[in-house]
Amino acid sequence: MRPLIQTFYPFFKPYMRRLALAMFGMGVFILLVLIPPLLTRHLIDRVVVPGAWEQLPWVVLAMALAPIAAHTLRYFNINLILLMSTRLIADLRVAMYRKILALSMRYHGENQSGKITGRIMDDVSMVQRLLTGESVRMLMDAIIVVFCLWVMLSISTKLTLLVFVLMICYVLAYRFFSRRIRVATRAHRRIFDQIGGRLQETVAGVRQVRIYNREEWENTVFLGRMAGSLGREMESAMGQMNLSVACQAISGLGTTAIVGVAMFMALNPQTGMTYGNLAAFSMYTWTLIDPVVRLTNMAGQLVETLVSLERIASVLREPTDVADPPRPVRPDSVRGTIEFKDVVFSYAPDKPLYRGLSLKVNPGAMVALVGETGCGKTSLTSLLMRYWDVQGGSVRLDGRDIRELDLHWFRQLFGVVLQDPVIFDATLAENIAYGRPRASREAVEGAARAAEIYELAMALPDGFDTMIGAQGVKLSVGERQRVSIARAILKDPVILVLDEATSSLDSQSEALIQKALATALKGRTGFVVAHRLSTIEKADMIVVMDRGRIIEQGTHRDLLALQGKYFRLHREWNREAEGARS
Amino acid sequence: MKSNRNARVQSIMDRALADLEDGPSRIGPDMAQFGRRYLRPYRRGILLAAALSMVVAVQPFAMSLTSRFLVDDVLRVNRGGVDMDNIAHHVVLAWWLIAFRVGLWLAYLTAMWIRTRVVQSAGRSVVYDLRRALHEKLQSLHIGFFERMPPGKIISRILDDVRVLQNWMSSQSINLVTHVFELVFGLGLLFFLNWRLACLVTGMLPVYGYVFKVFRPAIERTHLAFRRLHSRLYGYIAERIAHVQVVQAFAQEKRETSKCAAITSDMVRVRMRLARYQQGITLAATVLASLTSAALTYLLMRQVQTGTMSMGSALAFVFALGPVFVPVNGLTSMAVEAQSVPVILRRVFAILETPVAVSPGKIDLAGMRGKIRFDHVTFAYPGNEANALEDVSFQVLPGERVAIMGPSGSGKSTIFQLLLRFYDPNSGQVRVGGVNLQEAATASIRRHVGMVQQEPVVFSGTLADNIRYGRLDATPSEIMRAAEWAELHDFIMELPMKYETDVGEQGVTLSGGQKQRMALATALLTDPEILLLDDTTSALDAETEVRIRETLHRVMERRTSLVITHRVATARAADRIIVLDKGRVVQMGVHETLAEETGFYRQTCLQQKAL
Repeated sequence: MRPLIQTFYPFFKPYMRRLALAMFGMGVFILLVLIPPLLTRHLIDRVVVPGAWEQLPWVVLAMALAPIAAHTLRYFNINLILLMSTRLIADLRVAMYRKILALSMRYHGENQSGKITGRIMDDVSMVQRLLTGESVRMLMDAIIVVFCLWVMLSISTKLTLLVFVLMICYVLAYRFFSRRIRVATRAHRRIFDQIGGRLQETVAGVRQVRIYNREEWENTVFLGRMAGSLGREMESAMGQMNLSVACQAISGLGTTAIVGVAMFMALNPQTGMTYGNLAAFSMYTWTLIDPVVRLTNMAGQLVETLVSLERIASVLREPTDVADPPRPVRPDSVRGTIEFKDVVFSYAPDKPLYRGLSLKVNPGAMVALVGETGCGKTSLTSLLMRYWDVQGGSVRLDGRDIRELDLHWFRQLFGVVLQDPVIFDATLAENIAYGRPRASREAVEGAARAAEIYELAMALPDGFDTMIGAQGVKLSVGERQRVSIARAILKDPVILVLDEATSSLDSQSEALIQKALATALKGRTGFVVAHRLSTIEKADMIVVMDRGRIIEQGTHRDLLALQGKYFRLHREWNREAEGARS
Repeated sequence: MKSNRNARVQSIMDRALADLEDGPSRIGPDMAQFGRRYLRPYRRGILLAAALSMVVAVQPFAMSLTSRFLVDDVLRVNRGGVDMDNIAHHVVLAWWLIAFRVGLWLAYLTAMWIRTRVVQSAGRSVVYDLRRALHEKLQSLHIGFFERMPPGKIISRILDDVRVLQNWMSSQSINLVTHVFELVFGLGLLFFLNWRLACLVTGMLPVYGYVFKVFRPAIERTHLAFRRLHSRLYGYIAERIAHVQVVQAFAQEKRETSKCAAITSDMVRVRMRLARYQQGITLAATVLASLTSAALTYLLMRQVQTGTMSMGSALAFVFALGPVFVPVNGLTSMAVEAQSVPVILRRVFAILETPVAVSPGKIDLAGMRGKIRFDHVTFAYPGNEANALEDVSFQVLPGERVAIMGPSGSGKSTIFQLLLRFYDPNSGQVRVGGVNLQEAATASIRRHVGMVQQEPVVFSGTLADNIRYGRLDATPSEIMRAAEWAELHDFIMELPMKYETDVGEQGVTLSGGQKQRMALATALLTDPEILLLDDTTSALDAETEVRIRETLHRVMERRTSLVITHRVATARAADRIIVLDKGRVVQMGVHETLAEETGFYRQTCLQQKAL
């Protein structure tokens, strides 16, 4: 509990005083709301029965004013509470988001993105519910219970005992049914999620369904699950019905019993029970029921909220393993010499990837990384960009360990084109300008021209302002790739990292892209995870890797002369280019 | 200052609700059709429920009458109190009162229980029928429908829209009936107790209703805007976190954080407006209700004072006031929700009424050879003016392997779309095995012609499930063989659960190349006479591609295959190459010939250093 408080106290701190004020206001509100039954009793016993009519206007005035005052107070109070809690929740979300964006690929590799999003959205919503609804309600309920019991005891001990019995029955019934309802609801929701997921897939992949003539089969699967889901839903609805009937039976018949007993007491003048007391008593009995049930239920909800709080805290407490040094350096100029020095690195302790890898790249050189899948080409670029930090040795820029540099400044040096190009749900222009949001339209268009997407942009309905991505116009793989190249070009980086896509664009535009990339690479240091012969042959340095080691290194001609791994690979590519003519 | 803030919130809301479709509604015919087709089978239950609602509605007023009996007759409050000489009489009356109350509660609870059961089960049956009709319709709709309508929207028709209808049927409509009965019974009782004051109450009800009518739509809109902002934040965060690599690579963490902060603070603003509306409506209703009931209490007590009204009647009047005001509140809120029903009905029926565009033929292609013939085919996608194919003619012999090449947008994929009869040509004919596809049974075309899509689809489920999608009765060894042919087997055997490994949303993420190989395995399992490969090996590295090509060569022998490709190496291995440009066939022939002609193919060869 203590660490939780330590984590969340800073978030509460700015709002503490107003929170206390609001809570106090809530208490006053409840007391005002609870007054009317007492006024009714007074009206009957003290005004009407003895015929003290001169009091009537005052009592009626009080009856009108108490709820109006109460709700006016409540209006301001709820606004106050909501304003604080929604702001606090917003603070919390932004803090989590900032933290998560700062965390390294280690964290993101270990946690699926859906799970992380769930933390920021769902878990925080859970906490919000506690803040806005439950904590306030809990306080209100507690006041209600204490006040009601106090008044009821003052009217009759015997009747209050009867109310206790009633409450116990009520809580038991609630417990009995709510468990079954929960089980059925969960089952229903699970099946329903399945249905939704399947529907998403079969609608998005409708061609797959048609190609394999699976229409009938999909219908059967859908209807089978639908029937199952509706069955569970019916169970849960009937469970709720049974609960509500049971509760109404207990409260209805219970209050009838209470009224009955009170009535017989009233028939006997020695008990001192009056009709006014009876009326007030049964009103309070009704008021008492809901708060009692809620309070007994609170424990379960608090546990769930604590779980959410714990999860949020774990995100906030996660150490940033790739972080700025205490005194970050921002060199004035960059030449772009890159050196990997005795780098040791592994993703999992038992599977070392690099065991002392060294590589030096001169400014402006273009390096092609070559080797089979899983040999550590892409990981090398990840280390270079500090997606991860090395576990031994160092990566150096112009002779300085990159861990000494200001991280934001350092990452600004890079332009990246990933193998699987990422398109955000935004306009084409926004996607291109992702690395330089304030770039002028001319600059964006220039980058688009260089990446051969200018014509594509012009063909889109709204030109550069067309929405692309999940909600918008779908682009082909080749087009997405060109967008991400434009993004890298616009950023005008010192070092360009290119995870060459294996998929072929159509040859003409590919040739143009190659040209654009050649221009883009001019004067920059380039790292290309290369798959194409044309790229590799042009490189200033080819690095052949095998299982985390650099086995050959040099120019195309050097490596061919070596007659080693590269020579063999090259022969194979050539054969591929020649094709299976035989 | 204040108006400035309001304008700001308003602009946030307008943006959030920008694409809110009001949509057309045809309430009359739609309701009639809905009633006839979906409600009619359950009309008995619905009538029974309506009848039972009367019992439910009468309960609170009967209860308030019992308190009149208690006050006036049992306890004789304000009538000189209990007559102690005749106490036995009072005791009997007391027992009557208890018996009546118990009976009333039992009747009420029974009615409630039966009513809910009937309504819920009818509601669910209607939902089942509706979803079934929608889903079956979707399976038969023209493929063009799915191009026009994004998947999210289609799914929301089946799930969300139908759920609104369900909610409306199984709770709203019955509440409507109950509320009407409550109003009738309640006002009836008030008039019976004191008609003058009852007139006053009747006059107040519209005022009370007006408050709700003013606030409710605003609340609904604000609430919707808030929900949309929430899901926008959700989508935004999900997307950025999934691609955090790019965010970090472009050093955009600060900007992303401030964007997130902007959305969340918009949410705070809209939430506060919502709260003000919600609290405002409660406050206004409370003020009105307490003023009314205080005034009435005063007037009633004056009448008790003068003896024109008994204390019991006066109290019964006061106790009945609450249950009279409640249905007014309920009815106004229902009016808001009811407005969306016709719109939703229209959306649902619009799908059900969409015509099935490709009319199926009867001829079964089973047993025919894989001969393909395009005969002066011209085709434009619906809604597009430009032709995707223009006067295309070619023929493919059984067993031939043909490569199709051309710049993007030249109509390569369109040929495949027509071969699978996702679309019909505007003019000309597509023939397979000598049969015009418009005369062939759609299912048999798709059994005959297999296709691997450029961007393969992965369904949630195991790897084996995905491969088996091609043929549900395939044995594990057949699946394994298909995976071996597609060069996927070795990869699968490295996975923890082998063929039972989950893939898709919940499971292992497959790379582009693995997906393509999986899709290939699926197609190979169906053993089609004609195989269409849409740039299917694009995401594979060179070595794997060579191996797959060799296997395909073996497996597809004696079968016809069409391959869309950008790679000369692949094209070269084909028996023939067709080059398309702007929807026309511009070159056709074997590698050796085309490589000598000036044109797209030669250019491509030069670029890929294949000459």
